[in-house]
Amino acid sequence: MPNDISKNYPYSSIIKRVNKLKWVDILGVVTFFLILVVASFFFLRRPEYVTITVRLLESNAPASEYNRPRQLFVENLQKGLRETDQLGRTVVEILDIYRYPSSIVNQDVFATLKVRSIYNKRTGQYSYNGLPILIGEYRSFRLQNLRLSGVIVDIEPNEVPRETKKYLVTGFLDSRDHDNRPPEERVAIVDGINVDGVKNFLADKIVPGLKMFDNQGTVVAEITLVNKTPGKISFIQNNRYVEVNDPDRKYVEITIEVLTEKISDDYYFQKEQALTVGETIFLTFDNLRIRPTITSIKEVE
Amino acid sequence: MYRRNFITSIKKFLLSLGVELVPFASTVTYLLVSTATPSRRAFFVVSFVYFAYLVYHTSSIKKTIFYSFFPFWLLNVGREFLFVAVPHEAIRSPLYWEGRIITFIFSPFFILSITTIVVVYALVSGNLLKNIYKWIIPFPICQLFRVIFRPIIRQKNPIMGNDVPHGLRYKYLLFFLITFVLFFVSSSLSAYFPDLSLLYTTTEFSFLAWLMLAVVTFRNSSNKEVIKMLTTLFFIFFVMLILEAGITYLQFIKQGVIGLTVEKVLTIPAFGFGADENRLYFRPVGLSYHANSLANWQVSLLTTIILLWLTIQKILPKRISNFFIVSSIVLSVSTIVLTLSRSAYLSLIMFLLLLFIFNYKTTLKALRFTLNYFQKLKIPILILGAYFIYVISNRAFNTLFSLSETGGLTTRQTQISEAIQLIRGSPLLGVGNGMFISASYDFNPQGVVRFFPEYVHNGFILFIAERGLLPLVTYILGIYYLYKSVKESLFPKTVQLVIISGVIANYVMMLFQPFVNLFSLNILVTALLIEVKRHAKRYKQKLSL
Repeated sequence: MPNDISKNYPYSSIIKRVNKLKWVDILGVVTFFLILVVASFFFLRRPEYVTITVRLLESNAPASEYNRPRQLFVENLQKGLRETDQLGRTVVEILDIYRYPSSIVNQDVFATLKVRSIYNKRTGQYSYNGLPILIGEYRSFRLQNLRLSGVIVDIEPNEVPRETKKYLVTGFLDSRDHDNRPPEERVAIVDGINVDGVKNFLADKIVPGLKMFDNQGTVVAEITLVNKTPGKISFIQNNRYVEVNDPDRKYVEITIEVLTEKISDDYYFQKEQALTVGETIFLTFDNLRIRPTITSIKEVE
Repeated sequence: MYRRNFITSIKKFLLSLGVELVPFASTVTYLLVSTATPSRRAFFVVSFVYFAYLVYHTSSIKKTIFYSFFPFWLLNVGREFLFVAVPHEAIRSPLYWEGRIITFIFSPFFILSITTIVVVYALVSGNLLKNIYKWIIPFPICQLFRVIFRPIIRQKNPIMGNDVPHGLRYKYLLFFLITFVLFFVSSSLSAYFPDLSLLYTTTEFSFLAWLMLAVVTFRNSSNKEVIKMLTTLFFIFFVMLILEAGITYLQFIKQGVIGLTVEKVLTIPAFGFGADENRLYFRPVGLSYHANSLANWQVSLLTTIILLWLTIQKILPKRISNFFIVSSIVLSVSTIVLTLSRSAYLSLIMFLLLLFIFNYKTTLKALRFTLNYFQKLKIPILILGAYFIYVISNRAFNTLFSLSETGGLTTRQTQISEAIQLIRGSPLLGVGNGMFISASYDFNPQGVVRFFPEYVHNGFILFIAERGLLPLVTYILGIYYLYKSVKESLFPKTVQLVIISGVIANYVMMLFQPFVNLFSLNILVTALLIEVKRHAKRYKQKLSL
């Protein structure tokens, strides 16, 4: 009689088979299923896109001039370049490239990347390809036929742009910084001759209105005023101090309007150059690089 | 209509071979669907469905594990967890631009491994408890327990029946178990990623657990069932071989990985940095991480298939039986040839040589038969042969560069000498399973690890360095007793020879590669066949053993 009932039941064959299972079979299935369910909590963690800023460097070494990426590499960096997985989902994408175009071979380049990552609530870390994304860490990302490497400088950068401020910086061109002498020879008196002013071919190039841009077209520095006076050579001859004009040189004083960004509590030019009286500031224009020594700084109202 | 006829004829054919139809068909479907699956998440779902369906159909977790264990192992992909063993700044080789990373894969295979261990543990501990309570607790109390638990635990319950660890009677199994206990101790004491090391050991232990489960399943099965299970296992291995060989051929034609979810590598691995191989030649990796790893697995799979074939050949129609063994040999050997693994070539040569020396009549007969089999395919075989000779001679020529100052030989020698130093530091229990690279970096950061952060290319030294001398001693004892069991089981001469040559082929591979082949597939199947043979009275009617 019970058999007849089970035959009429719609899932009778399934019930029959399940009834056949012994406790050890059930234990096995439960174990398999339990591990899968527990694991699925990890698997079902939805990957999130995290935006990070990477300062590009050629190798994992301090950001010296020679470690910055070269123009040949930089020209391959394109906004929108992306790496996808097998389902066509974006894994890494270049959202933005920020740099200061100039004639320098090794440049400062910052790339803003959108990275598909997993967020761990416990540690507060994002991880990409199994490894955590950490500020200050040197990481590499593959994007199609490109390997982008550098130090992570920011994670989830603030959408609000940094506070900026303009300063009027006055300075002069020191011959020691513009004569292409090796550092050990950059002293005031070379071979008993004191030189004041830079070579004419350089001084003539410096004119008011010279501008420095970033790659978004924002003017970051502009020469507003140039004052050129004859260069001088001074030396000691027959126990007398002699000072004569040097027709090959000009003493150049300039006033530059620079755009600075607030990082922590201070303002920096090109994110890294502090404005300090007595120190130099590095400016790169088309086919021209100068390093004026700052003599005064004034905030632009 | 045609389709229905086709399916019916396949069903009839498989049934005529004595295959368990549903487990075999579902395994084939699982392998095919997994190969085509677009994502790893989907692969998990497919794996679970396959597993659940097998349990449902066979009504036995033991049978399910018996059939699904190696297909799961073959497609061992899932979520990878990465651990930096050596930071990238410490390595001078451009190949390791993210440092030397060791991984743990959370895959369906790992879940099945844990399940296998849990099931075996439940069976064994159940039986042990039964014995303990029989011996220790006085009889009236036993009766009371029986009365209380009778409704819950049926009379024929596996833990109370004759289900369990008769396997423990086997000395080899006992020594293997002790070896694993020592592995676990070694891993838990490891100074480098002990949790990861324990996970590695757990996964390895599941292979032994599979063997124990298989033995238990055989003991509780009828003669007919055992024959069916062995035949089905043979055909599952054959399908696995077809799948992997097919993927290898495609990779060879494409000269790169195909991009399947089940492939363990997504980019073409870099070859030729040891100056001893042609960098322009892609060595197919199949479903493994490296060409050598693929070759290593193929050597043990080939030996296993031959062993199983020798066991069941007489129950299969002669023509079909011959077709399957010749196809298996061709698929496996051609895959090994394509990998250009010199150590695998040596293993195969050693395997054949031993067969030839100790049983040259049968070997010659087999060779003649194989040659006759391909009479009609002379020209394609000659063309393929010429190509293989070219590729192999190229590899042989490049091998000469191994002897140069920066060649592979010097690197291997340095690795071995540093590994010996490591062994001196912790001789008894080693540095922990899978922790060789981390330990050698810690031991000598300026050593060979600086430019070649890899496992020492000698499986025996790797074993001692990672797991110590104590487990080696117990393992040797285990293998000795296994050998004794093989001798005592009175296998035919050919079977004995295949068993011993297969094990030696595994060890030859270990001499040159960082693989620990101490519990490889052919060893497990050997132990399984001993179990079959010990019940010769039950099985003698049909099996060839």
